[in-house]
Amino acid sequence: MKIGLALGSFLAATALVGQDKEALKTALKDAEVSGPWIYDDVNAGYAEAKKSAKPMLVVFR
Amino acid sequence: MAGLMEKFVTVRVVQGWGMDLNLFQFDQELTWAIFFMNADKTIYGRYGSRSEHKETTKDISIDGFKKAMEGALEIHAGYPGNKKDLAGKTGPAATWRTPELIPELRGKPNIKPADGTRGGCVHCHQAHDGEVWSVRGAKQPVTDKQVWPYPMPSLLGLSLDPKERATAASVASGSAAEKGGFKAGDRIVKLEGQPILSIADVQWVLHNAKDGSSVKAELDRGGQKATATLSVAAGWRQKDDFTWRVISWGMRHRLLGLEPLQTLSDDEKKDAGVPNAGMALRVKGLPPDWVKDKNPGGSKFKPGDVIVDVDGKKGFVTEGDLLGYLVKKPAGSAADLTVLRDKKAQKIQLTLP
Repeated sequence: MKIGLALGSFLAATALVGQDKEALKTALKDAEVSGPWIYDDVNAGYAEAKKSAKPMLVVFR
Repeated sequence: MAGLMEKFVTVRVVQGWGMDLNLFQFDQELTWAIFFMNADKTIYGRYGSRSEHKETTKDISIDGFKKAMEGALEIHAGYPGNKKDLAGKTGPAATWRTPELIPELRGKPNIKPADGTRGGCVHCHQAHDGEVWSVRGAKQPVTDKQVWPYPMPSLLGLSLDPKERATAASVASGSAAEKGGFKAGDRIVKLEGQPILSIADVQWVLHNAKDGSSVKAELDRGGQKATATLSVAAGWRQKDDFTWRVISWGMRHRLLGLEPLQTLSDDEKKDAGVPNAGMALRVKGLPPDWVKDKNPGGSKFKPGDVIVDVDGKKGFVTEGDLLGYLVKKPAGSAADLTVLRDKKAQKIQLTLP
């Protein structure tokens, strides 16, 4: 499988955290999925990483 | 991969608006790019590389991405004991803190928060393009690092396996990499003291390497520790072909007022009446009317013209060679070109923006 397709399915499968991103998500045709993705909010990512003690993976796409 | 992904807090950013350019410094002309980070903004590594327009999977792979993720988890497990080694992964302060502050981009219709449409957000590559043209707009010199960013290690003879974590697939004979002691199969563990997860991490170190310096590598060679160096000579970046990058579109239009140029083969040179050793770049066409920022001097060219001399120089073999030369000339200066049109020499002078 090409990485573009594989990553595309991860990136397209983006669950949102936050209420104000629904319109953008719909416009981008992102689908619901496995795994919580924080969408367009790096600061929320920092907070979640601090709380969970996990590292962050930030995708610019 | 899903099991690995669950070990991270995953964030997707779809727009350049508000992007912290002091922190998120990466090759902005990639289709996508990834940062592995700590919650305190310490960068563990980068993933995402590209060296040409068509074969986008030549430099990346799912296997390589998984191995980079595993490496990032190892770094996280050792944090903060390894924090000092990671300091170099954050760059110097950017000239403009966010893309929308870049002078060249202000006022453009898509410089706004994302609305979900392709034309309705700041594209990452616009930050690079905007930086170069803002520098020219301020009558400042454009640097090699700005024209030829994020060089691939293959420029130094070190070809890395996209399925591995920065591991040499081959080392070119006579290259800087071979002279520095690299061997095929070597895995780069650290470069300039920074832990290396990917080809993108190698590009980051090379991007920031000073011309004339020697980059130090710590290697894993078949389970044994080894060291090597990469010497980067003055002007080494200029060997890279940047014409796959979006930034080259604006350069063609604004500097020359033309569409892409074609390097002639030896047979084509003969037909055009150009000596084999001379430069020969054929004008394929002029930009369409909707291109508004083209050099008006481009209208002096005709499709089929062959550029054979620029400012008395004939060493520009490729379009990239020529664009790289022109974009480094001062804004407002003239460029004197000689073209062959029906085998007769014509002089064309352009004023460079």
